[in-house]
Amino acid sequence: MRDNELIRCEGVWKVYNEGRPYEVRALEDVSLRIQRGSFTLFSGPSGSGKTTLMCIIGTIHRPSRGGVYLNGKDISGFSDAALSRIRRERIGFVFQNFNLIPKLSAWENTAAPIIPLCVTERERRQRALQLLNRLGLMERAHHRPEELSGGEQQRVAIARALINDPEIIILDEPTSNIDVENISLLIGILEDLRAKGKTILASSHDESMLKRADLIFELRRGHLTGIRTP
Amino acid sequence: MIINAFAVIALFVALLTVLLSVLLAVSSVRIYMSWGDVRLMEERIAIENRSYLLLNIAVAVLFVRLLSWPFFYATLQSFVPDVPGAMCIFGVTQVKPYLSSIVQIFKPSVSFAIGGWMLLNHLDRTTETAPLFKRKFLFLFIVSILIFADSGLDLFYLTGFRVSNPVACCTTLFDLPERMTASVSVSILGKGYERYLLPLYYLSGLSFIVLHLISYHRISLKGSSTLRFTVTGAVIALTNAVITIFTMFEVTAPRVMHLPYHHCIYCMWQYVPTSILMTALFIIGTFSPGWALILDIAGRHDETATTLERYLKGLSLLGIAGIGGSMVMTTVYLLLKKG
Repeated sequence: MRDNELIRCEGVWKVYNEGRPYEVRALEDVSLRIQRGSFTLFSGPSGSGKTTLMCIIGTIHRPSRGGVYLNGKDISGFSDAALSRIRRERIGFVFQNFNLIPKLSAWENTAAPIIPLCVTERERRQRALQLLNRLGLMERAHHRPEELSGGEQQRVAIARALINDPEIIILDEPTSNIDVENISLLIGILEDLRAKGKTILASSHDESMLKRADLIFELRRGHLTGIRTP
Repeated sequence: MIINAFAVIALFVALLTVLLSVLLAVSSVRIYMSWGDVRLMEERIAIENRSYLLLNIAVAVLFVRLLSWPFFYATLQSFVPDVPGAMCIFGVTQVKPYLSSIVQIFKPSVSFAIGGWMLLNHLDRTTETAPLFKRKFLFLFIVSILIFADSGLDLFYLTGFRVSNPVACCTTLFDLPERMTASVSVSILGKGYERYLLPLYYLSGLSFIVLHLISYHRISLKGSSTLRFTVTGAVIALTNAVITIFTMFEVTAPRVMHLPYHHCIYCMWQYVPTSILMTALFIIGTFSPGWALILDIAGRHDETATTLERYLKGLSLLGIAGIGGSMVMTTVYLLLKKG
């Protein structure tokens, strides 16, 4: 393991319905390294395997073959319970459609990941409100997702990803559901997080995002076809 | 059959758990067998996904069965007014004496097995690659069979409970000079055994505590085997259990109730309800070394080394707390009721 390496994928494959007629090879032999504190982007057309790769790095999915190393430790053979612990403690995930819980308010959605950690409601509320304040959503804290704009929903999703102070933040197509003004706001938030030493992984086609990345991995049909810097 | 709220709940729980135990047994053996053939990650994920619901059902069923043990005695207690001649649970058990004995021996065994499985499952969940997955499903299969038998016995016992003649209650057995507890004590300790029984009780209880304190400080999976500690702990716990049960019948119960010639534990629970806590502490303290032995045998793996050490130490402390607490309560009762 290199000094500052946080994530390493070695020959990662993800095959759905393996050995069956409707087999889908979402990823084929993908190998890459991601440095601690970097801002990495995955770029490629729809169906290229970006989301699958980020889900594997984010411990939501497990690879069919190959190794995924986090801090030099191969986590590809970990049980689901162990991966859940890693996800809970070290990774914040922002989904493309945000996946906010409709019945909960913004602060309750933000605090949801720390409910299993037996944190008191008072502390949960305090931590959630602090984050929402940082992301400019204080006045929206008691609103439900349906009462928020796309950009606000995304910031709630970011706040939820940050509530556990994770070292890795993964954002799946964060620019696809928001307007230009909110993209600038998002970039500001990501710059701020990178300055705090967080490792950021995102998939995006947006030029302003691509310009700010440290490294861009290009994917086509499940293959890693190129690595470039902006 | 006596029908009251307790009996209805007990029957409902028994019926539910007898059915669920079949599901648990079949599914756990299927998971156990298919886990060995896993080649693809997809197959592993599919088995793990299937196991979640099963484990949730298992934990719920096992928890309900754990509670069904004290609830069984509560049900018997509720039958006392309906059984002619019965003054306590003992009288109720005399309606079906052999079946009662089987049920009363079976319930603690099932509760012990359930506790052991729950700890093994918890230990496996703390690991990274679930190395105990196969073992815990084999163990779950065994526990499911025990639960099936336990629930079936409950159904059989409660539905077939018919009172035809008045029964003989505890005074006709426990208050006789040749009662079993006295006879066994006499055969081991000789006449005038009462003088030795109480010191023996304290000696065995203190030995238990000292041994588990030593285990707590010396257990280390890095060095020599822990098995000598866990096996010795289990043997001492078993010896202490036998001595404590005799002491409860012969010394504690009569003094606690302030009835010098009445040696019935069931009456003790009835007249002095806080003695139920004393009994519960004794049971937890006695089971803990057994659970430690189960974990030491079934939970060993490179990945569990550190956690297992912590669990074994925790169980040593639980054993000390249980037996120590029970001894303190006994001592307080004896001092308060002296004379």
